[in-house]
Amino acid sequence: MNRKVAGILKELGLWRVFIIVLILRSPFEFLNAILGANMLESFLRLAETRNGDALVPIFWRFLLCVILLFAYNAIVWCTISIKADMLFHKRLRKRLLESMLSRTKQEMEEYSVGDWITRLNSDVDKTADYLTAPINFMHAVIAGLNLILSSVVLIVLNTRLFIVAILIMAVFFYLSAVVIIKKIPAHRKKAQEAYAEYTNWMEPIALSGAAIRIYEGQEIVMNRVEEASNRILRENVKAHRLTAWSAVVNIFSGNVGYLLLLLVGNCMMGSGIRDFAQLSKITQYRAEMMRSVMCVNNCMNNMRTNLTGAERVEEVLNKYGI
Amino acid sequence: MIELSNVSFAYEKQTVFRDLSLKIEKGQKVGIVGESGCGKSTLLSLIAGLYSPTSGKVCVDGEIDPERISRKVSVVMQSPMLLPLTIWENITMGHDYPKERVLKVCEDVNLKKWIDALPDGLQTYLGDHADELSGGQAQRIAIARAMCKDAEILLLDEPTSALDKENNAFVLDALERYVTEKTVVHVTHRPEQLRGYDRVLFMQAGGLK
Repeated sequence: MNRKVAGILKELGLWRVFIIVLILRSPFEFLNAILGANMLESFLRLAETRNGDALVPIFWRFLLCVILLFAYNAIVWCTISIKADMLFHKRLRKRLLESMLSRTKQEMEEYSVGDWITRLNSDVDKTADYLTAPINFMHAVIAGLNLILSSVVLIVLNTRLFIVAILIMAVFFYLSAVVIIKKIPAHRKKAQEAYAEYTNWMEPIALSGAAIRIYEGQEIVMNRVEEASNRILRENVKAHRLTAWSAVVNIFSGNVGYLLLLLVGNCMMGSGIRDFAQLSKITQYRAEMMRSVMCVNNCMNNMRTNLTGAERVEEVLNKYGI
Repeated sequence: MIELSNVSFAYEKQTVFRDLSLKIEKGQKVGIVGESGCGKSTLLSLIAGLYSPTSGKVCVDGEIDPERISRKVSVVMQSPMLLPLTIWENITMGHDYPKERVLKVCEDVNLKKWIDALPDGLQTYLGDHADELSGGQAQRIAIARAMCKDAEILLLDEPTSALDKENNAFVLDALERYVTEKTVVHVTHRPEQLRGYDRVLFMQAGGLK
């Protein structure tokens, strides 16, 4: 976790709450991966051995596991996590207001009105998103754990296929994370700054509307507001384009990796691998690894974007005493 | 010429004037005095085309459309209403006025010395720090803006109310020199500022005396 975000959590006294939610959320992905891989292996083995009598009891056993797992996840995600999120929002807004009210006029003027509005609204949302929203820090930890545990299982099942999987992933991860995604936060930050400028114009337009009308200043005002608005659009489009490229690379790497693994696995049939059911189980774990890497990648992307807001919030709180 | 015929105006249910009539000839200087909240600023906003009357007619130089009226007047309000633009842009409001004209008005309102001392001069960005200007500087920029537009009708709404004695004198002096051939309506609660005006009217209970 970013040091500044950790500082905000500590300042708000929510560090423990956040850790508990994280621990409660963590096992889901890996348990889901075990369930999926074993389910596929069991059904394929039944099909290979033509053992139809065992199908119904296995179906009920797995169905029960799936229901229990998803009920657990729903309780943690939809109730506990949301309550923690609300608490975070409430305390952060209160602390920001306290920080604002404790400032002198001169300190208040360090930021423009538009900047204050952005810091109190979208930046607070971004900070909360960093911590609790899907495909952000919490998912990154969960996916990271899933990646480690799935890797261990794959190493135990077949080390050679693990090496093949990891090599393919490394190439695409580098391309996606280092080459493409790394550039996104800079564009998001510029868009956020342009948004603050845009918001900043709303007050003068409301308060000095009479002067704009009397002195026919509509054109110059419109041009300035449009400039900021275009800058928001331009930077967001650049970020969206990079995100789209990253998604393309992710899908391509997933498919290529799967095909290569099937090819290598089929060549190893009889020597390293027992049968097709086991190969399917292995590809399931590889898919979990792949999914986790992509999830971590996407989480990092969103976290970097949301960090721009968190940093601006921390900057305000810093004055208050973090 | 400014003509208000049987003008009534109300903010939602609160009536400010009823059947008010007023005629101001071209080149006349009229002062309107009254206590705070009696409707002086509302009257000025009606003349400036910023409000439309509830009933009756406001006619300025033959125009009755509020938007067209706004184009024919210059207004200096209590608040300078500066925008997050440069000093130059705040004065010209994006219009292509000759530089000499802008420099002349800056000199007339006693801004030139201050502007010359700024590193970026007229291109200094006021941005969100317009509040950091002194009240006098901000108000003189507003007056420079009005002078640059050079409309035939100048409407003044307590332009010196927020200024100290020294700045008050500067601003009034600059205005006095500028308004010689203009039609002026000056709203104030300080009658001593209206010395030399053609007419001084007193506003009371929504009527003019």
